[in-house]
Amino acid sequence: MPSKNVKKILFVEPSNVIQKKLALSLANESFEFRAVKNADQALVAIIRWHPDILISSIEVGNITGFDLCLIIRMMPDFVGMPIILFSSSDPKNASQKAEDVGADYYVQKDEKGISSLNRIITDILHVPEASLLPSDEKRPIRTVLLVDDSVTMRKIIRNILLGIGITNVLEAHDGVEGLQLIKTEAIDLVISDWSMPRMNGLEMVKKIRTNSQFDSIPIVMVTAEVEEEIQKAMHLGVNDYLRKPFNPLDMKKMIAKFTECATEK
Amino acid sequence: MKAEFLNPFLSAAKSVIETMAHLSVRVKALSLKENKATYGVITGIIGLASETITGTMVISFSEPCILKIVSNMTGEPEKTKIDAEVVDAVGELTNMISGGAKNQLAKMKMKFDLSLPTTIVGKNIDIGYRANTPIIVIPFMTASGEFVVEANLALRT
Repeated sequence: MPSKNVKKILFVEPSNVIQKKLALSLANESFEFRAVKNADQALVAIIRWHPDILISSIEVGNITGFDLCLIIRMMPDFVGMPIILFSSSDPKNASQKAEDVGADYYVQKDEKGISSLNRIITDILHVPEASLLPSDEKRPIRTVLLVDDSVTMRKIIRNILLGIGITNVLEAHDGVEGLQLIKTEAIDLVISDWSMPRMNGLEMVKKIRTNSQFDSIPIVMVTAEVEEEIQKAMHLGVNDYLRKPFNPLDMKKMIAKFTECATEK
Repeated sequence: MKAEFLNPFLSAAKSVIETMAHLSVRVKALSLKENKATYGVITGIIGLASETITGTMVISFSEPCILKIVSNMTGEPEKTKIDAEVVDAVGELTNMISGGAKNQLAKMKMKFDLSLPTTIVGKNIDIGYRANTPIIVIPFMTASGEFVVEANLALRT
């Protein structure tokens, strides 16, 4: 059971990627975070879970975020629940419309908007702003994307991940497949080979880092490349690297830098 | 050929097999190869080129040796024969060994470019070594059999 001081945040958003992004941006022991995909699920969660605050995308299906807000404002127990609406399409007069349906805030669904949510929630829930920040760079890692053209190397790394409790491992044979998975799945950490056919690891990193939606995903390069080349990769946005050959402990230590669930074994 | 070119290949091969396959490796006496045929049942080949040196590095495994290495690397039961996954593993091992050697050579201010590895399955198959260039064989012994690293490097003329 959460402690009395933990604030419950319900997030209504159809995209797993955006859900994950917001969960990470609000990762903090002061919050319990729950996400649903549409307004119907949101209403059930509101009645059963009694969130302290609702953050809803406007584009959530047939019942829009505006409609959801109107319905909530008619529910006696939730009239005063703070509601933040946000949208990527910025429909005409959305801000005014959000106010008309009883939303407390309207924000744009972009990097700036998502980061401004921290400040807004601070104001609404009277939580010290500093406590919203993660204590360090570590985040919960649930899904790892493994990009390597070698089935042997993927097996080796997958086994190491399993050994530290990371069971959700997505595999890609090259950068092209890796990019596709990043766009469709909520990835917490990318582990990539350097030399691959079609699109190598470096080209993939460049593409990931030029997309603001994915630029915060940690990327670890596993390579036999020389130091000079690795430094080029670091400048392009690789967070860290592991040189081949490596033993399982080297890999576990590397992953532990980025995750809360990896521990040395 | 100077020992300074060979030592990086020797230490990289030992390091890669011991680290990735957890298999103790003992280096045996170097020799010169007098034919062009593959030593083992599966062989990885990679081309190397620098401003001053060009040539080929070859790594060739006996069957029990490579099957044990692959099993140890992947944590899976030992296979009974060479299959696509073993071929993949040899390509990866060739990459790692040549990459490790390249890294050590870079520290000696010798920059090399590497080609993509190719893999040959079968014993006594002729390899396209450089003509008139010595093929130095570095044999390695493990508890599960032997593998060799061959360096066929020459100064550019």
